[in-house]
Amino acid sequence: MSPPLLEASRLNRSFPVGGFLSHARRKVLTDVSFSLERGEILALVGESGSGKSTLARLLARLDTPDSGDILLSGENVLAREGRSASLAYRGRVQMVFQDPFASLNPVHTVAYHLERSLVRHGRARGVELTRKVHALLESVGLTPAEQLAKRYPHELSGGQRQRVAVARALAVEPDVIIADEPTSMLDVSTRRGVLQLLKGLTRERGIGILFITHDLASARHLADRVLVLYAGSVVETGRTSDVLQAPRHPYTRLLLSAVPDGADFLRTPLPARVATAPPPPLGCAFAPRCPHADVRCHEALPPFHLPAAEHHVRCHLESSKGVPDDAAVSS
Amino acid sequence: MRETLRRLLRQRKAAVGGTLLLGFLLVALVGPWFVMDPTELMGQPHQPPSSAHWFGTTGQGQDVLAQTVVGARETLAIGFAVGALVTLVGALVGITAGYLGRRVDDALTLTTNIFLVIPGLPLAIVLGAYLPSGPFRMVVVLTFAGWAWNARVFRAEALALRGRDFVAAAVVAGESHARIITRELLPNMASLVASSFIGNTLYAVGAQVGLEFLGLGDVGAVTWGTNLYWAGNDAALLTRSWWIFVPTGICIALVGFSLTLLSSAIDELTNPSLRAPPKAPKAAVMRAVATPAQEAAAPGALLSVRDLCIEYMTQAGPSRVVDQVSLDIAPGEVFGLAGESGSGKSTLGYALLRLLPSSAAITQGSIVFDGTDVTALSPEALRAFRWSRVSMVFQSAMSALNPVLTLGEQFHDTLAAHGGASRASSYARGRELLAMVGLKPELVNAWPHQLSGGMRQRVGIALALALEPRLVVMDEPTTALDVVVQKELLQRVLELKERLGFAVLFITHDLPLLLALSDRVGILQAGKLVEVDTAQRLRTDARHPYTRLLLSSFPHLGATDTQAPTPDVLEQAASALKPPLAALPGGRR
Amino acid sequence: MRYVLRRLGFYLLAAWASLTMNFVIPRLAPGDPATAMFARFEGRISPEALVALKTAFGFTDAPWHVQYFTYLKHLLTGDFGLSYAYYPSPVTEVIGTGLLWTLGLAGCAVIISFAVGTMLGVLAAWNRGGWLDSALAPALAFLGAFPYFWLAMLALYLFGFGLGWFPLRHAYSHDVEPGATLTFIADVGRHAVLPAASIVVATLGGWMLSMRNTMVAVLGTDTLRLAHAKGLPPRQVMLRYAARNALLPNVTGFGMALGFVLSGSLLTEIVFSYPGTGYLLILAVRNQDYPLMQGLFLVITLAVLAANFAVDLLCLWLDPRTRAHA
Repeated sequence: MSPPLLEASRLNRSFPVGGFLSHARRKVLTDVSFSLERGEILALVGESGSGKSTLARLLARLDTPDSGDILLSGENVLAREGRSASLAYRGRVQMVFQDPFASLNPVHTVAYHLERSLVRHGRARGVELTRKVHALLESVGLTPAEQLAKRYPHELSGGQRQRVAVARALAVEPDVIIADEPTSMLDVSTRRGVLQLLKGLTRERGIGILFITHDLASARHLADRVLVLYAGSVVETGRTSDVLQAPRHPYTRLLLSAVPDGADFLRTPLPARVATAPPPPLGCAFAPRCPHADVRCHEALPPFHLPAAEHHVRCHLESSKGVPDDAAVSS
Repeated sequence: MRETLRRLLRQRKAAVGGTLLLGFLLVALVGPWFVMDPTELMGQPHQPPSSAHWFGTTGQGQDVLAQTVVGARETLAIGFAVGALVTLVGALVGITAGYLGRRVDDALTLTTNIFLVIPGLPLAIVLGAYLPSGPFRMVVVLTFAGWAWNARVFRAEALALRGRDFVAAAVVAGESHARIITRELLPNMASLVASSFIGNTLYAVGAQVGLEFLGLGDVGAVTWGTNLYWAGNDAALLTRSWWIFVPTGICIALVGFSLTLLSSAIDELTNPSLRAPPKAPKAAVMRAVATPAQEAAAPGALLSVRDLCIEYMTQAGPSRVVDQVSLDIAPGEVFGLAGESGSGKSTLGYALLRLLPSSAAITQGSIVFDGTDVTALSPEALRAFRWSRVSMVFQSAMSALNPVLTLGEQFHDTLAAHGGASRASSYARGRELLAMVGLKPELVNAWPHQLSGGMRQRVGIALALALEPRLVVMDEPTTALDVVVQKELLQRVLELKERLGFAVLFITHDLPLLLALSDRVGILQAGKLVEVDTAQRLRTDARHPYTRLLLSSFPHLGATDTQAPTPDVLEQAASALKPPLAALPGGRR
Repeated sequence: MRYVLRRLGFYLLAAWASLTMNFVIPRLAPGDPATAMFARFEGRISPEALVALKTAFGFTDAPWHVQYFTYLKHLLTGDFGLSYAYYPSPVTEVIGTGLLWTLGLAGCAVIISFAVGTMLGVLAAWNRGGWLDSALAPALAFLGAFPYFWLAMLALYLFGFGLGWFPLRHAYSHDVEPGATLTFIADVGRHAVLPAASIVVATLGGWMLSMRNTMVAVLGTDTLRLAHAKGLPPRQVMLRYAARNALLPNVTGFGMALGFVLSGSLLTEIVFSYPGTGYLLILAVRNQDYPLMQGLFLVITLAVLAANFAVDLLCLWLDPRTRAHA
């Protein structure tokens, strides 16, 4: 069996808090592991502060984890390259940012953005360059390409800008695209088009997409698999249909119940308590808000359990349901 | 870039400043060939202006005109040289610190801050006293004493730009550091470089004149500063010889003023809010009170908006943001207003409280609230009307609460403005209100920054209910919140509505949310209300294509979500329907 | 408390940096300024006294670091050396009285200017496009473009020499006995009017413009919109909401501009022969009195650092957010 396209193994990241000379650190990601296959969309779901954007930056190599490994086609890239990513890595892993109003440089034309990626990675040069730029723009649905290539970002709508950002990522012919909430800053009527575009990329080019979002509904719409983050830890992961239709972790259920969908979503109570204590240092981070939490949850970090094939849940309640401990995977 | 230059030239400030400065540069360049020798003793000392000496003579008997004209040359040369050098050093240090960050930033910022608090003139004097005299000394001394301010400004800018995603995007694209600095950061700093250079030249001219006046310049050279130095030495005041020092001073001020004008013109170009706002468009024909529209007001409605038009004044002329909107809200009803950015939904909400910015105005139509014509209220009556009858919850309670007052003070302000409650009773009411929205009453003594986003939004709601208004306008109150917090908050709002009986106008782009929350929903597209119906009917039988487009834009959790309309087609239909509103000042993106 | 300590630490560091610059500059300068500096004393004092003076300044044949610690030791004990111009008075004694006059004059002028300018800026922003905004602001900006000392010369010429309303020089009349008497205070006040007024006029426009610009930015925020929506009286919105929030960045800017304004006011003192440190400064420059010059630099710097620290404390009091981090 060939190794996964992109694999993250026990990634940890913390940031210094407090001022000068202070050694305190806030943990943002704890032992996050997952894998992404060719042509697959993996949705990374979490609220603000769950660490999902930090994770995106780690994988885009804009930041370096404190510990843990990133494997690209089975090759440990951090061990080989250290802090700064090689051009080869950049050529295989690209990123689409959340805010297309910020991710395009206002002083450069659309063509400049695409040309730089093409030239830097040796994908085109000379007369071929213009042709390639136009082809890229057409492939993301921006026509007429000749006109749009000459425009500046401020002359485009939000949806158009995000398509340019996708085109820039595609220019290097990557294997992986990390899409960090690519539609959250867009007008609703243009969102779906951008999502469709991303989905098409996996089908047509076999690109693996890590789709980072806070919106469970679009994750369901788009992703093959889902990974739910809470306070920097993976609490549940599995096939989209499994996780979203039969959620096992209390936090996943809470998130699902809060999605504004259906006429009576405001009438159902939220399955959570008001947190009265900070998360325990050793136990499950969700314990203070969990309606089912017991002593175990405050004392020990639950292991992963497999309630169904490829469906991993990190919750003590699962183990009491008779799933033997040896079925737990330590990923 | 060319566009920027053209806009700069159109500005009066820039035109006046630029002309003045060019005039002085011309005088400095060619003037010395047309006047007498400034150092030669041409006549009697202390002679007032005459036909022989237009500006009179100095205490030594030199021609003041010649000294003023010749002085311009070295003064401006040194001024611009120092201006350029200070900008260069400041930009180098600032960008290095801001871009590299970490330890380098810590060290450079500390050095910069130290130089900032050390007063420049004494430092310049100590340094100048030990260096051999000449124009070079002046340049070194002034650069050494003045670079820090610029480094600070450039660091802040580099830091801000570095945090922008386009820099991260360039890193991901594989660009080198050198290229990111030169091609991504620097072009975005063009206006900062220009205004810094101008500001530094201003500093350089002033500081140079000061040092020379002290006698720290080359007293043998002819510059504006040494002219004043000699005026002081030759007892210009004692002999009542005003003409010796007045021309030089006016020249310095004119050069300084022209530089100030230029830099403020650049500031206004980059930050349009500093400019005087355009006047609001005039109301078309204000109609008489008994219009047919008013007759059509639904009986028993709490709020009746009829044919409301709101226009913004833009550079391209008036632009209609709300176009002939009519709607009614019944007492206790939740009315949802959905629309995308630029649809005019927030503008409509603000208009109900007459909170439009000064560049916007209601040009047509009426807003009748419970028998009161809101558009016709006098300023004092409007003040009394606001909050007691209609209140508002803002999208960003984080930034809407006053950061320098405790919550209790903000409750007290509100209550006192509407009936003079004592501080003690206001605080008591504040506690009660905080408890009502599910917060601890003790928070009445807290500052806004001590609360989380969700808590602040609860405070916003508590504040909105302080005077028990009959209508609360909620402008995207949950957009910045996480879904779980959003649901908690909305459930609380509905519960309070049941208890207190107020009506809600809820504005958002999130149609599924609105459908779950509202009794009736209006869809706003490009300022026009295209469809109004009950939430129930809209969910199943939306008639307007735009409503159907919006509905289909939200993926659902349930399995009923089909691929019904192909989104790309619909998107194109939508953009065809949508006039270009991007340039509007009021429209958020 | 931690914030206060951190700021204090920073100012101590800044003070140390200026002490060190004071030590390094004469030693790095081209030529042999140290010799030039002491050459001026030769003939006036005995060779033994000269050696003692050199030692006091650290100009010995010892290695640099030894010189440096000797220098620091002397400074810490308040020994700045002897003034050449006022020989044989110690520099500390010469500066002592001058500093008081400078701090009094510049302090009053700066505070008046900042208060009035800020107020005008508030009003100009509040009535944007009104006469205050469109006429007074540019007029003050034009006045601000004149060098302080030139405005001082003009004021002295017009109101001193021309109209004779104010005294021409010094801080008080020779025939008034200094002391805590009403006559003396009135006399000092009359002498301070012109120099203070010229500093105020020169700096007013700057404070007004910066306050106006921050006010304009604050006026566009949701905080202000909420204040209006709540139906608060306009005066309260202007002062308690807009001005209060716009004041914070301006007070920080005030701290940073202090050194600059002080430098300008030193030149103003020279025009009025005011017995402050500015007057000493010109004396030091013209007589090449290096010890006095360096002493002045240190003393003025320390005064500015202290004032900056006071401004930081003011910010702490004004801004609850800074207090939280304190």
